[in-house]
Amino acid sequence: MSNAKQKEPVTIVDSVETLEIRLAEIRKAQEQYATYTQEQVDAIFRAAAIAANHARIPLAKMAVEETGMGIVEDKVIKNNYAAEHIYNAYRNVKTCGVIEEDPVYGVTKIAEPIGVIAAVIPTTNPTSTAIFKCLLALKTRNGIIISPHPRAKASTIAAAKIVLDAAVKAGAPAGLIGWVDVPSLEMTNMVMKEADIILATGGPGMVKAAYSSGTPAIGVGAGNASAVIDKSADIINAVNSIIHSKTFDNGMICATEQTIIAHKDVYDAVRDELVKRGCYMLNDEEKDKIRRTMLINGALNAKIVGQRPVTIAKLAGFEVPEDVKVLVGEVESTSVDEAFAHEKLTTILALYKADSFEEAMDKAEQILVNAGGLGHTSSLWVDEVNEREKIMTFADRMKTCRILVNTPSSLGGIGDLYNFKFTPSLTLGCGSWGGNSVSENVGVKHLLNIKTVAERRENMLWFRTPDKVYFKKGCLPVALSELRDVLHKKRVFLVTDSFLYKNGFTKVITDKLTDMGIAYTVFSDVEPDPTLLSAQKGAEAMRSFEPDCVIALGGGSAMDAGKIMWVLYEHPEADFLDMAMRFIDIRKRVYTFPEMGQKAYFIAIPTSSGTGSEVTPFAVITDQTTGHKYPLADYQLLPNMAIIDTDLMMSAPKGLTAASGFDAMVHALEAYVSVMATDYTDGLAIRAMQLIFANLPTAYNDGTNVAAREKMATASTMAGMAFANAFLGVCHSMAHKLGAYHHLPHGVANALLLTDVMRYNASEKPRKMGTFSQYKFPHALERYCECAKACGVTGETNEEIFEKFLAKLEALKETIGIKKTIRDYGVDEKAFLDSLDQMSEDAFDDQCTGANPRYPLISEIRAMYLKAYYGEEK
Amino acid sequence: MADVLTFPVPGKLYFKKGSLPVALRELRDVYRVSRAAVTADEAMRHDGRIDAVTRVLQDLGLSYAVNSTSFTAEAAIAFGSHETWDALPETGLRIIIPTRIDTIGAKAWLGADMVILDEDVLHDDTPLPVQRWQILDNARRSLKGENASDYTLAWAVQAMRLVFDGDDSAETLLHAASLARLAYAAAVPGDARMGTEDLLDDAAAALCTTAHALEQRICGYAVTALGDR
Ligand SMILES: NC(=O)c1ccc[n+]([C@@H]2O[C@H](COP(=O)([O-])OP(=O)(O)OC[C@H]3O[C@@H](n4cnc5c(N)ncnc54)[C@H](O)[C@@H]3O)[C@@H](O)[C@H]2O)c1
Ligand SMILES: [Fe+2]
Repeated sequence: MSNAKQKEPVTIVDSVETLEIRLAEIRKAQEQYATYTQEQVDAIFRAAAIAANHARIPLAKMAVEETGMGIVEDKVIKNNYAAEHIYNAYRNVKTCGVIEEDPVYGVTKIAEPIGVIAAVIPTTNPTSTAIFKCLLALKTRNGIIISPHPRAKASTIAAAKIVLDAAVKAGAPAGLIGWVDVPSLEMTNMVMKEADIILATGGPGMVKAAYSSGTPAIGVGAGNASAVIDKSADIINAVNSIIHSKTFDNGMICATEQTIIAHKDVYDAVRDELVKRGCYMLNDEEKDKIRRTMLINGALNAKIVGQRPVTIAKLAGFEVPEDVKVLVGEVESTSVDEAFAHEKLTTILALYKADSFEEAMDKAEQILVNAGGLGHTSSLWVDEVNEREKIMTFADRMKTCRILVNTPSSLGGIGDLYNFKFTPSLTLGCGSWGGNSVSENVGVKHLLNIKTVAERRENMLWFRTPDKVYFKKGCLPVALSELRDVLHKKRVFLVTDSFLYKNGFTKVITDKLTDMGIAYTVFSDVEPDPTLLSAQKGAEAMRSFEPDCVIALGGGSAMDAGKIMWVLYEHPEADFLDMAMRFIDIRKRVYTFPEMGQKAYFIAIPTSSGTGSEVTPFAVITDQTTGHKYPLADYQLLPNMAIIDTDLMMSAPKGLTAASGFDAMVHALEAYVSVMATDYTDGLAIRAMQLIFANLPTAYNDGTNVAAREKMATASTMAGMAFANAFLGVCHSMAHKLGAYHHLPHGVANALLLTDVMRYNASEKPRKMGTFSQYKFPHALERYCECAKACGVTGETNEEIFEKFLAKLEALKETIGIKKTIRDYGVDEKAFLDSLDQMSEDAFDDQCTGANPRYPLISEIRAMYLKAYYGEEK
Repeated sequence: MADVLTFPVPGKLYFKKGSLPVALRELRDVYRVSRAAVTADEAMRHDGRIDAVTRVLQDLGLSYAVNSTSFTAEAAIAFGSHETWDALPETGLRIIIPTRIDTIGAKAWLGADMVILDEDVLHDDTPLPVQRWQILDNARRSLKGENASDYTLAWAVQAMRLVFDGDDSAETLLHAASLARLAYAAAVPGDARMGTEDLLDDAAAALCTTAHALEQRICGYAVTALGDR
């Protein structure tokens, strides 16, 4: 190639241009490495870890020589740790491609590399941190460009090179790991700007630069750990562990103790033990000298970092014996002006006395806030068995991401040495308190992009009914005998309305109860569309009677009132508004309904054919103060037993027969087109429709016709079972509010709205369709036509069948005396229009709306109300 | 006919692919059970299919044992064929997770507190024509049961509707089979007593056809199934 612009191969990176070329090389290598398999990656990871481990001693020597800080033998441990513990922690962790697969839930997780990591390495751990970051990069298929600290560049680069050579030898693309040979602030900034992610370990300035670079960054901040020694602690263990920790590599690990705060009762013991083990207590004059040497213009003096006491003392202008381990300054102030309160990164410790455990925590907190170290590490020495509460209080109070208990914090904080579930790392996140994005010990998961492939799954569905459903004309006394023979009940509370009570409907039941020797009382004050107030009264009566069985006898009103009384009786503490809280998924609702049946068994016995309340988990109740109607829904409200005996329905007046009979029709239709419909509810809904078309006219015209009454009773319960599980739709939402605002019987309100709602739902291109995983496309039209055909409607096209079906429903309404419009029921036009906006909004918010196949807009509901009022589009 | 009829169904019937782990969560969250005894067909244990249950129990932190006679538990889970369903104890929480649907066993479902139909573990490898025929046969026979009612008829007819007009997908046939078996189990008492009536006419009317035409149609399926056996 004779490209004049072709550059010379770069040997060292010392300028913006050479850095660009190196970055391009790393990028190219990384692109190739991204195609490697887990197996290949693991082999490379292993080879690199072994090579780093082999070089632990020369690298340690080199680091100490170059930086003049720390202790060779301890740096050997750090290098060894960075190779061995990191390898061991991740050897079997999946980091390439599919890392997790859950076919049941349909979730697959795929790990992909991020690209090129910019690694900023500190002087304090120049080789171990380099090894650590390079190994993480290899394991995650990332490239890495290292920006060493100017004072430690040779050793950092040597470490990186060892890892790179071993990796390439094991098959990694050449050039995957790169570094800046001549570091400067400008170069570091550029490295950070060009990389795909920054992994910055260092002082606050460096971390801030990383976060400000515009590149996603994992920067971790400065430590300043306090060790609180409670009076319950094992002092000898505590002090010796702290000395061991503090002297490790001359105090250069960021998690190292900088301060001891000892309880006054053990303060002297702590002090004595420190002295006994070779620590030096500074006198006042020496303390001042140290203070002046330690901080220069508020910043830590680099000359004392990682030094032994003898060296520090000399720098400060006094002498201590050669073998002193730590210089200890007894101090009181926790303010920013107290140099001893700061992070020292060397063999100097502050010692505070606290009057109580409380005060010790106060001091530790003040130090974090005033002198730095928020988010990093704190430690507590305490009796772990008998003082659990102190541990939790301490954990609660400290704004640090590592809270170590009875553990030397330097080697304890980096993980896996004193606690084997604690992630090993040389980069420790400090959370938002430390201005960081990560609060854990940084590991491979922070260097991967994880894709989640989520496949569509359908919600679990169910079919539930009361435990026992008895039916057949005349079954009531037989079914009730279970109360004594099987259930062994002793006290029955019978809920009904005054009409039914006065007309002797309760007699069959009370006679049978007397027969069986079961005590009972009757509550007969239920009004139509029962209110919360009356339910509360009933519950009060229950509380004084203490029944073990509640029987609700009557239409929807008595059964619903009975259910609410039952709840209030079993759970006087339950809040009604909580129970009425709207939900999207009954199984995930925020409010957990109280558990029912602890005190009483619940039996529902309908006297009208319509609501299906005897088999539903719903109860509709009106708040007497606002007039709002609330449909409560929870399977806890499902009766335990339902007894459907036609004998009780023979005398239902025409109006009730028509209204409640048509209500059942609407239940069946709404359940069938509900987004939650299932094969189990479909079969019941269709059968119910067939029976209603065939029998409602007769039941209406000739109330004495037993067969028609019986079929209507069955239809109503079947429709109830269908909507108990598939739920209803927007026709009921609208009917609830229309009934509440303008006092129309529930069934009539539904009848007036039904065909308009069906037309609305049947649209093939609805503005919005219902949201439910199994509802795949708008198919209400087709579903209505299935109903139509099962009910004998025929036609050429779906449109034709649908129109004929609507006509058939309208004809049924006419036969049973239901008028055409809301206006025909004498609802005042002005009153209707005045309420319209509020009514539309309330209907939209009704619990029944969620299962509707078309998700309604409030304006659409409003338009349907108007249409139903006038009988024509307005 | 009896003075009283009932419509027995399982306490809770849960279904849909993936429902098993979701439904079993109730052991901990609703029933607050800490020990569960699992009864499984030996084959399930050997080929590891039992993991679908034990893994969930583990995740829930429950103690459990599989096919142990000495392990006492608050809940019993039957996983597999009807032999395991019938082995459930009389008392305590009873859960059935069928791995196949069969006619004889469906009665056990009615007495269970929970039945979970999850396509991840429930498969029917019977040839399709035979499956269809078995569904129709169960549905048809349920119409004559001593306890047949509009309720059982509704499910029997729905099962037939799914066979006649359904999409033949595994899911559709699974639920058709379950509906037909449940209808049969509810309509025909334990001693297999048949009633004096036959609801065939009603079923035919419900399917908008005549009794004769319906019988003919069912026969047609029987012939195809026989050819396939
Ligand atoms: N819980 C549910 O699942 C559900 C479903 C639909 C409707 N509802 C609610 O049910 C209520 C409507 O119920 P409903 O239509 O049964 O009316 P209802 O219970 O209000 O009864 C209306 C009137 O008919 C009388 N009556 C009942 N049975 C009789 C009989 N056999 N002979 C003579 N008179 C009789 C009652 O004494 C009452 O005066 C509404 O509050 C509605 O919101 C509840
Ligand atoms: Fe209703």
